Amino acid sequence: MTGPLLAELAELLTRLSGGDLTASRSLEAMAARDDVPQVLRDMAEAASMLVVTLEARQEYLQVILDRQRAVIAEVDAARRTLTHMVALGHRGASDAMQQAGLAFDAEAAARQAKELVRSSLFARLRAARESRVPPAASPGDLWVFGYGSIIWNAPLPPVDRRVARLHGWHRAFCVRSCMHRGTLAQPGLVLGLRPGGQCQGIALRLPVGSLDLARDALFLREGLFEMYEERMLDIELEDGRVVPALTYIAREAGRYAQPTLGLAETVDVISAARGRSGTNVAYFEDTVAALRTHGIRDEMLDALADVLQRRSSARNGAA
Amino acid sequence: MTRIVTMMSGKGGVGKSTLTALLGALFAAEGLKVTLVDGDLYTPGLHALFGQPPSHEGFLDLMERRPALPSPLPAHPGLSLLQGGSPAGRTSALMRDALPVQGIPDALLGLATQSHAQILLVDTHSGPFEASLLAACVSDLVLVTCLAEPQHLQAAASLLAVLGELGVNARPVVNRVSDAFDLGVLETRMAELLGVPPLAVLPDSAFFSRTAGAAFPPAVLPADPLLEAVRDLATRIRVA
Repeated sequence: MTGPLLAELAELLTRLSGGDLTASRSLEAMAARDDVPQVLRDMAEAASMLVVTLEARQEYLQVILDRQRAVIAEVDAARRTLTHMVALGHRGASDAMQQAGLAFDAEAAARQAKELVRSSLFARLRAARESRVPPAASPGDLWVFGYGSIIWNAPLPPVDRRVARLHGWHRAFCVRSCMHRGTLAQPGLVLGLRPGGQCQGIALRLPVGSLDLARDALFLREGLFEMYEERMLDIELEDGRVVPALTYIAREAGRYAQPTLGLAETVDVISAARGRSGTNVAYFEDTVAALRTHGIRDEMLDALADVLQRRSSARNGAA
Repeated sequence: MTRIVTMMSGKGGVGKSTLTALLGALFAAEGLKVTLVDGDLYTPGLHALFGQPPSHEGFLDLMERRPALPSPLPAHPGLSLLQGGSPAGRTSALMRDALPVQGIPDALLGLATQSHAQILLVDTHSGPFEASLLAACVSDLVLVTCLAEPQHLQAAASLLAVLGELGVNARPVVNRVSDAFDLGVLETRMAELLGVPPLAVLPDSAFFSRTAGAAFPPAVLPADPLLEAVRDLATRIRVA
């Protein structure tokens, strides 16, 4: 009965001991004895020693595993670095290709252009251009007439600023602003010019050749073509000179055109609207402040300021 | 006020007409009123991109100031097209030098007023020909499309220099750039080489290369890097 059982236990212990010859031999010797309880005690002792050995081995394997994990991480980092270097190599090759592959005969291009410019064709072209572009596009100063935000937010740094008067047009809150001072759902109001009367504003003199740059900046701000129409209008500078100036007139039709509103209605809109560049009230106040700095008063703006002021006081009083 | 934008190139085959059609469609999709003019009097082809049959009447008649002047025809929602007009049966048009090109500036300015378009996009024949240059003279912006290849760059540089002498606001557009190039690096390099910063550097697109020449624009525009870049260019055109 006990023989096969002991043999089985001995085999199990031998296997667990990892084929340790010394241990195997002693286990065989134990199993061969007749004193079964003693054999079992011996085996239990051998088993507990084996547990200690196995724990030590497990600890050792864990250390090995940790080291191998660290090695794997290092290899992975190295692989990523190498991939990056390969990409950089490609980029470098691409740059080199661009340097080499794009080189063209710039002198030949310049020669060809010069020949064209000297030809009779060019004279015809120049005549066609000069007869059709506005005078400000020809070399010289560019004056821009500011009556609203242009005064305190010039499209380009001006080289000169003069108080100026535009005859035949007056300032009006007649342009809907759906981006900077309002939204599509609740448009604000910004200044435009409407026919009749006169308007005192600030003429900004921009450096030679700035027409396109000024247009870029203004179109970007003023919402392109739909809100304003660009005109070259004669303005009278404070020193009496009359000069043509780039002037933005409010369009009288289209989705941004605001038919004339009364003072109270205008204040209703302005005090409620807010857009990407801030509140409509801030636009109003900045414009009035900028005009006053230059000693310019506008009856319409003063009247609006009074209504706004009264409402603000009434609100504070009620509070 | 109509913004006249003329599309030019130093050499042919740079994708000028496809780009013109694409820009026109994108402007129209943004709600702008757009008129395209096929100013390529020698090899007009813009109509084919919009699936229109060639018309005998067109820009040619406008230049000649014939009594019955043609109008741009609807080609796409929000977009109308004035074809070049067929030179067939017109001796003058068959001979390049005999074309009434002197009428081009007035024809374009007149069209800008009559059409009430916000953008007038003029496609032209490649090269520094009088017809194309006259269109450039009355434009608010000229795009000189070129490829990133030496011969194309040389032609573009020469054209940009001439336009610069005329005081025309002209900007290069580098088209069909292979993905082997870094677009940002190329843009800087182009600005150095051409002396004028490009308004756009457009990636090559397998989709548009395949469909170029077919009816345009396709009913469903695919999500394509080129389309994104052209959309960005359309925004720049409005302010450049």
